[in-house]
Amino acid sequence: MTQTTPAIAAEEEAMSPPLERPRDRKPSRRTANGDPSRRDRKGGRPRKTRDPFGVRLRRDWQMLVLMIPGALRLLLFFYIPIFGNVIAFQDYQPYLKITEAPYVAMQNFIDLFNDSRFFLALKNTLILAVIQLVLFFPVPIVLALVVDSMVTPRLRKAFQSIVYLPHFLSWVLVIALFQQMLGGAGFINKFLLSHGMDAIPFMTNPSTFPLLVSLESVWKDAGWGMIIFLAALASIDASLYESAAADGAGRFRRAWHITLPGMRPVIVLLLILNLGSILTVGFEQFILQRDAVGADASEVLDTYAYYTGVIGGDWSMGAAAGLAKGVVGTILVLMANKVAHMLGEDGIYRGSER
Amino acid sequence: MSFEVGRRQLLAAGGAAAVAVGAAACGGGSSQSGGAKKSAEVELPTYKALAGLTPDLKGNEQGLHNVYLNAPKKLVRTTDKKPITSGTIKALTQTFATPPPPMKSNPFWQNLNKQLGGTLDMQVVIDSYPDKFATILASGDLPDLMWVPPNQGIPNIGLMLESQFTDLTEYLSGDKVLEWKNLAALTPSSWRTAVVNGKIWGAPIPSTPFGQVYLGNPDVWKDVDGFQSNSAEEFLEKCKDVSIKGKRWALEPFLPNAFHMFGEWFGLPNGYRVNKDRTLTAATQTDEYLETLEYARKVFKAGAFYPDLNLAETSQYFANGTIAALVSVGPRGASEYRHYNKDLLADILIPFAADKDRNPVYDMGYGTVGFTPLKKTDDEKKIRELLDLINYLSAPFGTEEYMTVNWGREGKDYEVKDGNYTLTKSGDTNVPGLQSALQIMAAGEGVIYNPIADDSEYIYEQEKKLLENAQQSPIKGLYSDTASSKGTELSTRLSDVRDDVIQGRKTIDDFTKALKQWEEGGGKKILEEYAEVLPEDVPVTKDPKKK
Repeated sequence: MTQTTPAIAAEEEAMSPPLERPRDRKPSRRTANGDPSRRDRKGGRPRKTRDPFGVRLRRDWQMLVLMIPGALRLLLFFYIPIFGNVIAFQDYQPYLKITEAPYVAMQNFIDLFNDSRFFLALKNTLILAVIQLVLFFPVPIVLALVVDSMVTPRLRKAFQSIVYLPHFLSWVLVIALFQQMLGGAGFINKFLLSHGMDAIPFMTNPSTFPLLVSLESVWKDAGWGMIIFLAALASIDASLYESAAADGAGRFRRAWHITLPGMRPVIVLLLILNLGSILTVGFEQFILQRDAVGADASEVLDTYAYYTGVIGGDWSMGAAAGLAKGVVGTILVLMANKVAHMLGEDGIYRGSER
Repeated sequence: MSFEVGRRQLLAAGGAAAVAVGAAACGGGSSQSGGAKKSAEVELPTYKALAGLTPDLKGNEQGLHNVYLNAPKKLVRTTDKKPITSGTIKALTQTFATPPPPMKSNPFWQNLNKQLGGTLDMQVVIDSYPDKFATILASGDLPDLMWVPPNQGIPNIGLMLESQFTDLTEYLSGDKVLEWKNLAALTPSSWRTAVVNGKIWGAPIPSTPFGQVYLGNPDVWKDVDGFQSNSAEEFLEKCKDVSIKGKRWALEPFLPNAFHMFGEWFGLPNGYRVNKDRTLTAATQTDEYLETLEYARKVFKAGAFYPDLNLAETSQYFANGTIAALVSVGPRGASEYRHYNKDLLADILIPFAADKDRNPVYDMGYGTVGFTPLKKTDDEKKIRELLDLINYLSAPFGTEEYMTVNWGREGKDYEVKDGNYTLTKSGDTNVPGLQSALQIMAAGEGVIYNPIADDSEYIYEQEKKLLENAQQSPIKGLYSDTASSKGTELSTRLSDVRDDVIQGRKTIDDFTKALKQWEEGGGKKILEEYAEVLPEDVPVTKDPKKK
C-alpha cells in the first residue's frame, strides 16, 4: 500500500520525464521533421497524415527500447496483480488457488455495504483526505518558493537537504519522534508538568487526530514533494523575470504574475494525481496510532481492508473493500481531469477531441 | 515431567493468553462442521515421562513447573541416531529475539546441523508471522515444517490443514507415539492443541501452563508497603502514591493486559463461564466485566498508566523504575529483568479480591504456542524422518539434545560457571536468535531454571500460590466454526470499544451496545457451538461472589 502524498506522486511521475511541462514533452525532433504535432491535430488536421508505422518505428526505436524496463515493471507489478482482484467476487482462502475458490458474485460487496464499520472507515478516509489535501498540498509549493528565493547556493542546498531527508525515515520512527516531542511523556508535556501546568493530549485526542496526522505527513514528506516544484521553477524563462523587474515589478508581483502561472500546469497535474490516490491516506501511520486515539478515529479504508482481510481472515471482503476504493479513486481522477480541461489545462491526459 | 496427567479439565486451559485476544486466541478451529465433535473423540498420544531426569523441586499435575536450581550434573541422552537422513529439511519459524547470524557464519547453527545429520534450513520470520504464513500458503511452495500458531489469528485452520498438511494420527495416536521418547513426554494437555477435526497434525510446542501475571518493581513499591494489595481500591491508591507527575508511572500502558489482570480480582471467568445448565456465557457478558470496566476507567483517569500507548522501551523503563508494574506472560518472567538491571527480581502479584465479598481467580494460559505440522506427503520415510527431527528438537531440559538445541557446545557457545550455564561471547551472538526460532518450532515441557537459584525458588513458591485460585478456560481444545471464521473480527471490534471506554472516550452504554452487536453478529452462535461440544468433565465455573 503506497503512501499518498504529492511526494509519492512525484516519485511515480519521476519514472517518465516529469520535469517539463507536459505540453513540451514531444521530442523536438518530431516538430523538426514536420511531424503532425498535437497542436496541429487540435487544428483539425486528420490523423491519417501521420507517417506509416514502419517509418516511425525506424525513427523512434531507441525510445521504445528505453521504455521496455518501465513497461515491464508496470506489467509485472501493477497490471498482472490487478487480476488478483477477482478474489473480491470469490470466497477465497490463502490455501486455495484462485481458480479453485468458489464464486460468490456480489455477496462480498453486499456484506461490505451492510457493515457500518466500512462506512466509518470511508467517512474517516474522506475527512482525512480533504484535510490532508488542504493542509498538505500547498506546503511543498511554499517550500519551493522559499528555496527558490534563497540566494546563497550553500544555504539553499542545506535547507533542501534538511527538509527532504525525513522522507526517508519510516513511519515507525516518525511517530516515535513525534511521541518524544508531543506524547504524554514527551518533551513538551514533561516541561508543562514540571512547571505545574496540565499535560495537553496532543497524541491521544481523537478530535484533533486529523490535524496530527497531517502535521506528521507535512514533516515527513513536504520536503520531498518540494523537489518537483523546484524543477518546475527552474524551467521558467529567466528573461520573464528580468523584463518584469525592468518594468518595476517587485518580488511579490513577480511571484504572483510569473512564478505561479509558470508552475500552474505542474500544480494541476500533481493535484489530479493526488486526487486519484486521495483515498490512500496512509496505512502504517494509522495502525501505529490506533491504540492511542481509538479505532473510531483511526480506521481508514486501508486499515479496514487489513483488519478484515489479513487479520480477520476474510480475504475476499478485504479485496472488495480495496476494489471499492479503487473505483472511487478512478472516478475522482476522471472528474478532476475533466475540470482541468475546462480550466484549459492538460491534466494527466488530453481529451481526444482536443 | 515426572507426573501423570490424564484428566481433561486440567489440560483444558485458558484459551486466552489474554482476555484481550479472547475468542481470537481460541479461534483457530475448523471450519468444517462437526470438526469439534470429532476432535473430542481422537485418542491422544500416550503420556510417558522421560526416565532419568532429576529436578530439584518437583512439579505437579496442576501445572507447577519442575525446578532445576543448578545445571544438572549428568545429562540424559534421548535419541540414538541422527534424525536427518535426506540431506536438507526446510522449515518456517519465527524468532522473538534479535535475528541470528545466517547459517554460513553461525557456528552454533553449523554444529546443530552436524548433530542432526543434515541441514536444517530455517526461514526465520522477524515481524508479522501470520502475514508471512498466509503468503507462503498462497504461493503453494511450502517448507517441510511450518509453525502454526492458533493463537495468532490464523483463521479457518481446519480446511487449511486438510488441504496442505499431513494427518499424523496413525503415527502418533495412542501407544504409537512411544517410538519417539520426547514426544511421548509431552503432556496430553499440550497435545490437545494439535488436534483439529479429530486428527493429530503435529507435535505441540509447550509453553508455560500459567497465564499472565502482574510484575512489580520492588524498589518502587516498597514506599507504599509493597506491591501486594488487599482490594482494588487499595491498589488504586498505591498506584496514585507511587506516581510522580511527568517522571514515574504506576502501570505499563498496554490496556488489554491490564484489564485482564483487573478482571481476575473481580472474579471474571477465563474467557467463558460454564453455567449450571451447561450453557456458556462469555466473560464480556457478565456483570463482573462491567465492574472491571468501571474500575479500569477509574485507574486510567487517575493517570496510573504511562501516557503513551506505543511504548517500545517498557522493559527498560520497568527495570529503572520509571514504570512500576507490567504484565508478563507468566510467573517465570519475574527473573527476566535482571537482563536490564542485575539487582531486579520482580514481585509477582497474587490476584487478590477486588472487594470483600469477591472470589479472586487466576487465569491459566493456553499451555502451548501451537504446533508444527508437516507438508502434505504420503511418503512414510519422509514422515518418520521429520518426526525423528521434531522428537530431537522437543527434548526437555536436562538432556544432551536440549543442550545442543538451546545452548550449543560446551566451552565454545556456553560454559558451566559455579554450577550454572552461561553463554560465551560467541554464544551470545549466535545462540539467542536461533534458539528462540527453534523453541517456537518444537520444545519439551518447560521447567524453571535460572542462573540464580533463589529466583527459581521464589517463582516456584509464587506458582504454588497462584494455583490456589487457578481456573482453566473451559473451551481449550474446542473449536467452533463461527469462532474460527468470524471470531477474530468480532472480538477485535468489541475490544476496540472496551479500550475506548477505559480511556474515557466512550461510555459503558456504548460497550453494552457493542456487546449486543457482538452477540447478534455471531457471538451467540459461538457460545452455542462451544456449549454443544463442551465435555462433561469441564466443571461449572465458580461463583465470582462469596455467598
